[in-house]
Amino acid sequence: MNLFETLKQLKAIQPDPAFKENSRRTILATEPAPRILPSLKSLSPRRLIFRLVETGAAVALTGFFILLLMGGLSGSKFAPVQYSSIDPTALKAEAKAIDIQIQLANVKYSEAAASTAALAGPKRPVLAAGLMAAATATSTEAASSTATTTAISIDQALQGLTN
Amino acid sequence: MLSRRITAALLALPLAAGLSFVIPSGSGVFSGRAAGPLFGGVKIARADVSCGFTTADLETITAARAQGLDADLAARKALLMRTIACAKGDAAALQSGLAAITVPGADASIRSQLSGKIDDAMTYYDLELAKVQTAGLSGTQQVAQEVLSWRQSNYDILAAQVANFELYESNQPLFATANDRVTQMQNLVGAIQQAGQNNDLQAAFSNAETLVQTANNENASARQSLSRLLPPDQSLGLIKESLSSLSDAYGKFFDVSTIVQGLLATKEK
Repeated sequence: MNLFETLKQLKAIQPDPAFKENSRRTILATEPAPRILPSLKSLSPRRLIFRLVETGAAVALTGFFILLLMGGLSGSKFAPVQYSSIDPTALKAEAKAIDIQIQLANVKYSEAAASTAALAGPKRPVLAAGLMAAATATSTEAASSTATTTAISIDQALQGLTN
Repeated sequence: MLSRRITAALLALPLAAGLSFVIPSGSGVFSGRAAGPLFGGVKIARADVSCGFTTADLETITAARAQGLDADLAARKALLMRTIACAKGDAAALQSGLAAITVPGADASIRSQLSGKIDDAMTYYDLELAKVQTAGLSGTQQVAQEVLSWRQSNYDILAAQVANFELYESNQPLFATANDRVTQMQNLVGAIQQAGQNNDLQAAFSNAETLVQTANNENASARQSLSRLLPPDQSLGLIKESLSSLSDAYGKFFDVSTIVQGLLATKEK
C-alpha cells in the first residue's frame, strides 16, 4: 500500500465516544493544583516587607556587579586600590599633554598681547589672535609701487582702500 | 586704458551679481554666497573669488586712479566688495569651526552665544556691502575705514573669544583625568597610610590635591569669563593659570609615585 494513503487513513482516526466522555469527566473533576507563590494579599505585613527587601537587595546586588564589571567605580572613593595610578609612564604622558596645551595657550597669549599693543598704535600690522588667518605680510604700507608682490591681510587691504 | 576699465568692471561684476564663491581662508577653504539678496540675487555662474590679497591688488587701484574717476571708483568698489566678502567668509569659517567643537551640554549656551555674535558680524558685513553699491569715491574710503575700525574693535575680539573657547574645551579632558588621578591616588595613599604612617607621602599627596583643586577653581573662573564674554586676554590668562596649576599638580603626582614605589621596593626586600 502507498505510504501517503496510509497516512491519510490515520488522519481520520477518532477516539471511542465512551472513552472520550469518561476522560473529559475525569479531567474536569480534578481539583486545580495549589499556587506555589502565594498572592500578596495572603502574605502577612512582616512577610511582605521581607519579600520586598529580598527583591530590592537582589536587584541592587545585580546592579552593583554590572557596575563593577563595566568599571563604573573607577575614579570613585569606593574603587579598589589601583597601583596603575602611580605609573610614571602614564603620568608622564598626561603631563606632556598639559605642557602642549600650555604652549598653545602661550602662543595665543603672545598673539593677543601683540594685537593689543598694535591696536594702540596708529597702524595695525597684523590681525588679532584667534582662528583668523595670520597675516603673512611684512609691510604695513597700503600701496606699493615695487615690482615684487607681497601677500597682505584683509585689514591691510582695507587700510589701503581708506586712502 | 580701455582694457583696464574692462578689467575693473569684470572684477566688480561677480560680486555685484551675488554669485557663489569659494574662498581659501585661514586654515581651510570655505564656500558661500556673497550676500545674494543685497546684490539683486542674480545667479550668474559659479566663480572662485580669491581671498589671497597681495600688494598687486592695491596697485590696481593706483593704476586705475591714473585713468580717471570712473576707473578708480570701479576698481575700488571691486576690491572693497571682495575684501568684505572675504571677511564675511572668514566669519562663516569661524562659525563652522565653532560648531565642530565637541561641547558638553553645560557649555552649549556659551557656544550659541558666540555663534550669535558671529551672525551679527555677518549681518554687519552684509550692510557694509550694500553701502558699497551706492557709494562714491569718498564713500568707498569711508566704508573701508568703518569696516577696518569695526574689525579691530569687534571682530578680532570675537575671533579671540572663539579661539579661547576652543582652547578651554580642549583642556577639559585633561582636568577630568587629573581629578580621576587624585581619587585613585587617594585610595592608594589611604591604604598605605593604614599600613603605616608616612608623612612625606601624605604631604606630597595633599599638595597635589590642593593644586588640582586650585586648577579646578581657575578652570571654573575661565569658563565664567568665557560665558560672560569678558575680554579675551582675561579669559586666556585664566586658562593659562589653570593649566599651570595642573602642571604643578602633576609634579606632585610624580613625587607621590616616587615615594610609593620606594615604599614598595623596601617592602619587597
